[in-house]
Formats: sequence, C-alpha cells, structure tokens
Amino acid sequence: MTMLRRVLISLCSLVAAAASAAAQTNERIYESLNFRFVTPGARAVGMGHTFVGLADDATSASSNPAGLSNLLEPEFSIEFNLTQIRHERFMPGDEAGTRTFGDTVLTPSFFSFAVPVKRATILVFRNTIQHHNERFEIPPRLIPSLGLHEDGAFGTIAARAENYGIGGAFVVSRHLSVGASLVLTTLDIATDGRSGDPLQPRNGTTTIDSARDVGVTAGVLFKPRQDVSIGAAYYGGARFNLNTTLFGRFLFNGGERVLTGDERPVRYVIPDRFAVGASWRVRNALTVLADVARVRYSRQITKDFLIVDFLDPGAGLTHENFVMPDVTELHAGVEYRWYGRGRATALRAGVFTDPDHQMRFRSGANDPNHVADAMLAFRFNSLESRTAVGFTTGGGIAFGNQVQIDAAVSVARTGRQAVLSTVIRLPK
Amino acid sequence: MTSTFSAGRIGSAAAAAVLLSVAAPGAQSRATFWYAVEGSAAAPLSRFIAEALGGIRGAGTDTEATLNVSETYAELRRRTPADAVFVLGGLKAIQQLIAMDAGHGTLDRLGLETINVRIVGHPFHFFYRADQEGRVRNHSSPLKVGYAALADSLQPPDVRSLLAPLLGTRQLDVEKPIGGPGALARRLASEGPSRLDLVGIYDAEPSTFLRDFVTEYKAVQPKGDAGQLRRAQIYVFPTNKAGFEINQLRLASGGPLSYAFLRYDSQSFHDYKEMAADDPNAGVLTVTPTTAGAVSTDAPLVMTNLRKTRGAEAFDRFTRQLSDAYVSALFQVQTYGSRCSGPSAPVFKSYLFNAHLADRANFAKTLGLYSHLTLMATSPARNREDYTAQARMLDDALGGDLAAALADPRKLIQRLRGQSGTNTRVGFSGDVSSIYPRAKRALEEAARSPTAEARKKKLEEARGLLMDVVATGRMPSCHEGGRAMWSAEDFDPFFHLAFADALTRSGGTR
Repeated sequence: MTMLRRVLISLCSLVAAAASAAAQTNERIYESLNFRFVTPGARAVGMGHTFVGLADDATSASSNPAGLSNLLEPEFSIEFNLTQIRHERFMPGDEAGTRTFGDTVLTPSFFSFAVPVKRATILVFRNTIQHHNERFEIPPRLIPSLGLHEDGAFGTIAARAENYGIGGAFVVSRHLSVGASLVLTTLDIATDGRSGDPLQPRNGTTTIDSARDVGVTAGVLFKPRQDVSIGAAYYGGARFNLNTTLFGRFLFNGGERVLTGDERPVRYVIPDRFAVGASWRVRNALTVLADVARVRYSRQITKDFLIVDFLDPGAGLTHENFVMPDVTELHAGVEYRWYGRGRATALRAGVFTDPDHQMRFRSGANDPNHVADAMLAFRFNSLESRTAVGFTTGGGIAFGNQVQIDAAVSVARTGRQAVLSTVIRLPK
Repeated sequence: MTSTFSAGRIGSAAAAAVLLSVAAPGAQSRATFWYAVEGSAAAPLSRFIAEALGGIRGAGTDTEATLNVSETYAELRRRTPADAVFVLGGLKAIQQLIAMDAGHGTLDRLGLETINVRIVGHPFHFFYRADQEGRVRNHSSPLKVGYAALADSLQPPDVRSLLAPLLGTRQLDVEKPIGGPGALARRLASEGPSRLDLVGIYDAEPSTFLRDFVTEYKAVQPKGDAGQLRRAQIYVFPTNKAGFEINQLRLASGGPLSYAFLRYDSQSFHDYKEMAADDPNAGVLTVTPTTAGAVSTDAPLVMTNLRKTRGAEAFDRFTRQLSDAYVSALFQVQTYGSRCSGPSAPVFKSYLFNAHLADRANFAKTLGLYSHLTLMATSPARNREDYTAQARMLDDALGGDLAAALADPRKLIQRLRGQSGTNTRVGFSGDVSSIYPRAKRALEEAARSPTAEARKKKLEEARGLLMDVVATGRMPSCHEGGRAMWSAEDFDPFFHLAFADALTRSGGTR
C-alpha cells in the first residue's frame, strides 16, 4: 500500500464532527447511532412503551392527546428519566463485533397539565424527546475490501431536544375524541468529532448550535365499547437547520484542501411517526394493550445532507447514496391492578421491537473506484441489520384517587431506561 | 302542639303523637295518630326511618308528645277504631306493648298490624313429607321435629313452646339443632326410626341452607310414584283462621320468642311452587331472634291499622313509603361506613331485602338488593360465596331477569326510565372513579336541598350520572377500577338509583 493511499484513507476516514444525531451527515460520529422515541410516563414505559390506544391519563399529552378527553378532573404529571442510549459501533476486533458507547443521562423528561373544560381539554406539556451524551474513541479498523486500516476516531456528542406543547382534546361523541398539540421543538447540540487520535487529529467537524421548529401532534381515540379503545396518533417530527464547522485537511480533487473554519449547513431531523394502538380492559384488574408505530427515518436524509468526510467532488457522492429505512415498531403490554381501600397497586410488563434503522450506504451514481465507495460501504454497511427486542417492567401505586406514582425499567440492546413518574389528580 | 319530627326529638326517646295525613288524597279528614315509643328510635337508622315516615304526613294539625311504653299504651286505649294509628318502636318496646295488652284486646280492637316484622325477624320454614301429612296434621302420635337455626341460637324448648300451640299438640319431640341441610333432608326422607316428621329451617333470607336442603331432599327421595308420594311439602299456616292472622306479632307462650305469620305468596323469597299449597291464605311463620346480636338492624317495627281505617290503597302506599324510607336511611345514615370493609353489610341486606318485599313491583329496589348481593360477593368477607349464591337465588326467583338486565346496559337504562349521554364527555370517559363519586355527591346535595326545586335539579343530575355509570356496563364491586389506576370503592350504582327513586317519591321528606 502506498503512502499516498494511506494518507487518502486517513483523510477520508475522518471522524468528523458534528451535527447531531442520526443522519444529518454521514460522519462517523453518527455511525450506527439510533434514535429512540420515549413514550412519556412510567406506566406506558412499563407496558412496552405502549399507550396510543389507552391514553387515559395526563401522560397521554404526548403519546395521544385525544386521550385527554378521558380526564374529568384537572391532572398534572411529571416524569424523571434515567436513560442510556447504547450506541453500538462496529468494531471488528472486539469479541462481539461491536463496541458500545453512550452515557447515562438523568432528565426531568416530561411535564404536563391538563384541564377539562366541558367537552374540551386544555393542555400544556414539555417533553424531552432526546437527551443523549456520548464520548467515544475507537482505534483504527481494518477495511477488508481494501486490506487497509482506516484512522481511528474520537469525539463527543451532547444532544438535547425538547418539545413544548400546547393543545387540547375535544369529545366529538360518546365514542370519539380528537386531540392535537402545537409543538415547539428546540434542539441544543454540541458535538465534536475528529479522525485520527487525540494527539494527532486529522480532520473533523464541530457543531455547537441551537434551533427551533414548530410541528404538530394529532390523535384520535375511538371507544366502540367502554372496555375497548382504539387510538391513532401522528407526530410531526422536526427539522433543524444547523451549521457545522470543518476542521483539518480534506481530500479534494486528487489533492488535499485545508477547510478549517469553513461552515457548512446541515440538517438535524427528528423523524415523523404514525402510530395506532388498541387497549382492552379484559376485566376489572387487567388491561392488555398493543401499539404499532411507523417511524419514517428516511426523512432524516435530506437534500442538503452533508457527506462531510468525502467532500471531494471526485467521489461523486450525493444524498441518494445514503438510505435509512422506515421501520415499523411493535409494542405490547399488560397491566394488572390490585385495588384496596384507599389505594391501588399495579404490576406491568411489556415487550417492544426496535427494528434496525441505521443509515446505510448505497453504491450507485458515485464513482465506484473512489476510495470513498469501499470506505463508506465498510463504515455503514458492516453491521448486520438486526431488530432489537426490548423488555419492560414496572409498577405503580395510587393513593386516594389523587396521587399515582409509577416506576419502570426498559431494557433493550439499543438502550436502557429507568423512569419514575407521578400523576396527580386535582379536585375539580 | 304543632311540630315536625326531628332526629333529636325522636332520639331523645319519648314518643310523638303526630297527626298523619297518609290517607288517600281526598279521603275524609279523620284523625291519624303517630306514636314513637321511647328508646326505640335512638339508633341512627331507626331515627332516620322515624323521621322519614314522620315526614310523610302532610299539612295538618300535628300533635307531638314523647311517651314511654306505658304512656303509649294508655294513648292507644284512648283511640277509637276509626282513628288511623301508627306505632313505631323497637322490638323490645313492641313486645312490651303486646305483653301489656294481654287480656285487654286494645291492639285487636284498633286492628293494629305489625307490617314489617321481617325487618327484625326471619322465616321459620317447616317441611314434612306428603305421605305423612295425616300424621302431621292430625297428631295421632308424637311428632318428631328436627331443625336448623342459623338466624339465632334457638333451643329445643324454645321451638317446642313456639310450635306446640301452632300445631295444636303438645306431643312434640324436638331434637337439638341439626347442622347441615343434607342431614336434615336424610332424616326427613328416612323410613327408619331416625325419621323426622317435621324439619324446620330458621334462617335469614335468601337462605342457601334452605335451597340446599330442598336440593338434597330431591336427591335422596325415591324416584317415580313413590317419590311423588314422599315429596317434601312446606308446612303453611292458615292465615284466615283466628290466631294465625297475618302481621300480628305474638309472644310465644312459655318462651322468649315472638312471631307473626306472613302471607307465603307475598313474603317468601323462594318460589317452591310444587312444595307449597296453592292457597292465598297460606302463611309462613316468621320469628324474631331472642339474642341481641342476631338482630341485624336497629330499624323500628311499625304497627298500624291503616289498612282497616283508610283502605288497601292507603295501606299499600304507606308500605311503599316505608320501603323508600329503608333505602333512604341506608344512604343518608353514614354511621355504618363501608359495606365491603365495615360491618354494615347485614344492615344493607336486611333493609334492601325488606324494601324489596314491601315494594316488589319496584324494579330499582329489586335491582338494588341484587346489586348489594353482587357487591358483597366481591368483598373480602368470609361468607362472600354465600352472597354469590344468594344473588343467584334472587335472580332465579325472578326467572333470570336481573342478570339479563345487567348484561345489556342500554336496555337496562330504558327499563330504569333513565337517559344516559346527557353529558357527552362523561359518556366518553366512562371513568367510574370520578362519575360515581360525583353522582353520590349530587344525591347527598339533593337530600339536603331545602327546596323541592333544588332537590329535583340535583336528583336529575345524580340520575344522569348514575345512568352514565350504568352505561359503562360495570358490575357492582368493592373496588371498581376507573381510568388509569383510579377506582371507585363500594361501587354499587344500582343502590344509588334506588335511592334516587326513593328520594324522588318522598317529595317533602327531609
């Protein structure tokens, strides 16, 4: 292998920086990074993150606002969430073939207040939809098709996205409720990624930016019978225009170009989702429920998708070389309750799927002989596509029809979560 | 003097003589007297019933006085048979009054009936074999009697002193109580020396013991013609004969018991047609307990001559009002607390049962009794299985009508002449943990309302909410889950519907 080629590979394999979570750029910092949507409320989490078809307390503000019509008194809810998104990075040398990164983050993750007014419900809420911290450092990896090692990479990611919503629900009939929220989503992001090693960084990006977007969440809840409810909800997602700053030398038309300080636009996209769910109160103490959610991860790759480590026009890369699959998640849960004088307790369990939705490289109109083709294929296509199956469990206790405290844990290959939440019913 | 009944006055134990106008509207104005006997109405439920019945009277010249048993009796002696008289008293007071009247005939002269013996007493059913009827009726030889006493600890001498005059023979060999329905059935069916001529069951209704006895007997009796000959018969008493008249509380000679005869066809919970004589005068013996702990209610007995002085219509109306008062008392007297976790379940059962007996045509009350039994079947009570069986017995007695009614909320609401859906949001939510307490609050406010208009409004609100609860199809239970983890305790919307109806009918009461 020639020295030049080593250099080229090193340059190309920048760890780059920045931007944010999934798929605004094809940087290694986002390689294999999963996005996970968290259903608010420990009750929902304990039941496999399932709530669209039940939506019967104030935590439904975010999962299905139509469910707020179930409330007959004002209700207040707050949640704390301890989350670790497990970011698996492809690491051929490791026993498992991957290495996991991601910090554990404690967040006051949800707040809502809903007030019924005749047939309507007025709602305000705040919901943390992403709070991910990660520090990573990976050694050079062998690219089998090239017989070469790419550079190592290191960096940090701190991303936090919050929803601030105002909305409401309306009872259309004894069987039907609709609800919607106008949602202001804010993003604060700070990422810093470099190729090479900390002593000799080669190139990368730095993204420190904030942005806002306005979207909608809408839902409907249909009750054909009092013990059965069917819900559907749409979550509009959000798009944020950010700027990332390049650092170092980049391969450019057969040569190199120092782009330190150059700013490039990138987009951070929270994908939109559509979910349907149903719940059935089998008997007084038992409820079973299931949701199906379609997440349109493909929306994360936009036209101004930044192929940051191959800015080289000679590679012929466009955003069409990258794909993210839309996926269908399945969620199911069960809640069993014990009622006693002045209190109720519950145990819950659930299961959910988190289908693979990593960004993949699709060779096509680009130059297949350019080193980028093999490198990007290695980087984005090496990890096999696997659907993670997660399990949840939790419990709750309610006192005097006024205070309900719930706790839950959720464990999957892609993340772990512990949630504590409370719902307080206020007298009307 | 002119006044109204108040809890305090009645509770202070005296007697009140109140002019009643319970006679049919338009009837002649004749004097009606109301006596509450000292000490009889001090307990909360009793006080409430006294108050509620006192409130039945309309405008008129009311006379109030507080009297003890002797004074009450003296007042009764001054009344003429044309006067409508009411005497309200506890079992002990009424027994004293009856004892005081021995040899004087004042109560008979006034034609006073004790119209609600079942509120403290229980039926004492007797069975014999059809092929032994001659022996049992003609007393050609000593009768062997066995019995089970579940409602009270009756002893053989008590039973003997009770039965001897009623059967017209002193040749009674009464065994000590027998514990199980199977043993009783086998002894009755036996052809050997252990055979009993008469077996009795003293139990509160609905009686699973009685049901099991009938079932057991049918199992052991011979098949075919022989079995038909030896079928079990209920021993009924001729209420058209002197000494057996209905609603006449009497003291058993030589014993502590008091008893009365009630019409079998109007008072029996069971409907064993093939075992009972098809005779409108057939009476069933009802006996009051002798031990204080066996009396499950503090309700007062009511003696009146209303049927005689004002006619059947006025009497029936008053009986229904008494029935309403039972239901109202249960709601408005909070002393006993929870049915599921407190001691009030027997009181509820007794009152609702008597409310049903006194107003059988009222579907809401029947449903109220059934739902109470269903509610208690979900309780942690040790005898909750009995409640399940009793609910089934009540339903069976009504041809499965109640279970079928509850299975179809829409039809049930129509049948209750209700309307759900007046509040669309409530209808959508169906959160019984919120709707049910709201309905109860509305009922409480209705009961306290100072004006008829305000009461009507609150009652309509409560009824609408209760119909929304009914529309959810939820069955009575001690803890009924609402939305999320909230719940409704002592969840029994049908009882409250019965109360709403009772309060609606009571008009000016309270």
